[in-house]
Formats: sequence, structure tokens, C-alpha cells
Amino acid sequence: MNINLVTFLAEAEESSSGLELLLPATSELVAGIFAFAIVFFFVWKWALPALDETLSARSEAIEGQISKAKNEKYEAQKTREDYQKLVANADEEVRKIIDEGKATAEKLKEGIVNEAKEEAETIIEKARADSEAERDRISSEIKSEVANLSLEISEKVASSMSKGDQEKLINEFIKEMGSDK
Amino acid sequence: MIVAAESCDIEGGIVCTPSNVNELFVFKPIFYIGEIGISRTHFLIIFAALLVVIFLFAGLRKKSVVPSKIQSVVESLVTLIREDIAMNVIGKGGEAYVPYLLSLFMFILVGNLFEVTPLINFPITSRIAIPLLLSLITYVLFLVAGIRKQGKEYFTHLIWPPGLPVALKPLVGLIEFASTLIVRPVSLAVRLFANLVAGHLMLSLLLVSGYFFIYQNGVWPVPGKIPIGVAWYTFGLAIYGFEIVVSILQAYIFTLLSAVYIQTSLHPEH
Repeated sequence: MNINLVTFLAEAEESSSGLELLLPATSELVAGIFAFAIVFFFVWKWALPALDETLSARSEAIEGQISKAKNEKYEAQKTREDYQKLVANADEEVRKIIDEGKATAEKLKEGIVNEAKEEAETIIEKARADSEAERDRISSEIKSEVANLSLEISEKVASSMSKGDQEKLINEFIKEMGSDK
Repeated sequence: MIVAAESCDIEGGIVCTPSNVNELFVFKPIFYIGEIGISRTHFLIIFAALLVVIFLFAGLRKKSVVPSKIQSVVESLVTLIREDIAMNVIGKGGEAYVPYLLSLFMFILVGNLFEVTPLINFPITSRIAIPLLLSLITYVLFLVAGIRKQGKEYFTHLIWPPGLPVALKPLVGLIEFASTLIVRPVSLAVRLFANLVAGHLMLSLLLVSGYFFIYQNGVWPVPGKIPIGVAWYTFGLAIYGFEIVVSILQAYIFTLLSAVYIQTSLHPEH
């Protein structure tokens, strides 16, 4: 260590107790008071009220949005319920329509069947009547034919018989024919 | 430090100027207002206050329902002070102290961060006047709060907690008197001051040392000493990051302890 350094350290030690470092400078205290007062008044009078205003506005906005969301949710639920009701009603309506359709179909079926039956019966009846009529006609024709034949026969026979015997014979014959029927 | 150190002339036998450590803490006026000389420290103290005002104004002027980035930061800081410190620590009646605690935190924070702010590199809280002033304000506040809340019995309760045996009263009274009325404000001020002074000195020494190992009296680079210089610089930069944390933490601790002291006055039952 050279002499200058030793001198320097010795001088430094003598002249410095370090106490100055721990003593506040009055001018710095004044500057500090002034500076802190600026900060404090700004925070107190402007910053915090501004922040509270902002937070209040945000809170209101959020509450408004929550309320709006709730309303929308309620509306959505209501719409859903309406739709569900509509769907349920539609099911019921469809069921009703189907039932009605079924009933109508049943009625129609019954009507058609009855009509068919009636028609069939009519047809049968008609057929029967026609058949009866035909039979009667045929019977009459046969009778007539038989009569004609009988007449022809009788003419042939009658040519050999008297007129009275002829008529008597014819009447007996017809009578027998009628009883045979 | 660097300016001072550059005056060194090792070859000429002059180790370093200034001749004693106190000169490092003498700040000559950089300009005058009338007859009042304004030093760099004074300027930085006022500048810190203005920065706080500008920061808060920038963050809160728009009052947007959807906050911007700076507004989010300001709101987070205010919420931290209001909810975590004023309401949680002080409890009932804490709302009234939010302006003070917020001002305290912001002012100390900006003052501390000057330590790591390029071109400033000087924390105003490393000057004892600022921590002392703020701790005195806290001191007055918690005393006033105690007197308003408890009346004359405040000091009695402060020194002799209820239920204390009579035999212990002299001893406990002495301890409590010293710890509450003397040590509290002093420790509050010294904690902040010492942390910032230590950090500032450590940072300065490391970075200046690094600088000197690489560059000495016009010799650039100093042969063989570059690795040492780089190592010091790297260490200095690590401490630089650490000092950012210290700056924030010390501002928080000071504010938190102020709130705790106020709380003890407002709610002695706790």
C-alpha cells in the first residue's frame, strides 16, 4: 500500500463518522413532505374516486349483463317450455287425428262392409228373385211346352178321341202335372 | 460512483476522489428556484411523486368498463392495497386509510425502483429523510388512531396489556414503551433505508468493479482481467434483478407494517 493510499484512508477515517448518512437533510424532508402531499392529495381527491366510479360503472354493467342474461335465460326457458307444450300438443293432436282417422276408417269400413253386405244380400235376393222368376218362367215354359206337347199328343190322341174325352184327358193331365211340381 | 472512480489515478498515486465517503452523499444543486438550490435528490423526490401521479392518471383517466393494460395494473395495485392490506389487515375502519396506504406504497415503490431505473440508478429511499418522514407519518397516524379509538387508556393499554400481573408492569412497561413508541418508527424507517442503501451500494460496487476490471484509465481492454470483469458484471446483473424484487418487497413491507400498526391502535383486542 503506498503512502497516498494510507493518507487517503486516514483522512477519510478522520473526516467521516458516517453519521451524516443517518441524519435526514432538512431540505430533503421538506421535498419529501411536498412530494408525498402531492401524491396523497391526488390519490385521495382524484385517483380513488375515479377508480370507485369506474368500479361502480363496471359493477353496474356486470349486474346489467347478469340481469340481461337472466332475462334471456328466462325467455329461452319460456320459449322452450312453449315449444315443449307445442310438441306435446302436436303429439296429442296427431294422436287425436290418428284416433279420429281410425274411427272414421272404422266407420267407413263398417259402412262399406254393411253396404257390401246389403248389396250382396240385394244381389243374392235379386239373384234369388231372378232365379225364382226364371224358374217360374222355365216352369211356365215347361208347362207350356208340356201343354203344347200334350196338346200335340192329345191332338194326335184326340184325333182318335171325342172332343169331350180330349178335354177331360187334358185337364187331368194338367192336374197331374201341377201336383207333380 | 463511476464518475468519482474515474477521477482515480493509480499510477499517479491518487487512489480515488472524493477523499471521504460522505462526499458520495453530498448532492450539489443542479439548478436553483430563487435562492433554493435543487439537488438531484430533491429533483428525484419530486419526480417520484409526479411519476406516481402520471401513472395513476394514465391508468384511471379513461374509466373504461373494459380495462386497458395500464388500467388493469393500476386497479390490481389499488385492489392489493385496499383488499389485502387495508381491509384484511386493519379490518373495520380500514377503508379510511386506503388513500394513505396507497400513496405510501406507490411513492415508496417508485422511489425504490429508481435504484434500477437506467440513467437514474439512485433510490430516493436510500436517503434517510424519506423513510424517516414516512415512518413518522405512520407513527403519528397510529397514535392518533389509538387515541381517537381508546381515549386516554390507549397509552396505558399500549404499555401495559390488560391482565398483566402488577409485578411485571415495570419491566413490560419499559419494554413495550421502547418497542412500540421508539423501536417501531425507527425500525420501520431503518429497514427500508438499510435495504435500499445496501442494495444500491452492492449494485454500484459490483458494476463499477466489473467496469474497472475491463477498462482502466484509458486501457481497453485490460489484459487478463476481462473474465473477472465479466464475472463481476454478470453477478451485478443478477443482483440487479434481485434488487427489483427487493424494491417491490420493501414497499409492500413498509405499507403492510404501517397497516399493522394502525390496526393495533384501532383494534387492540386483536
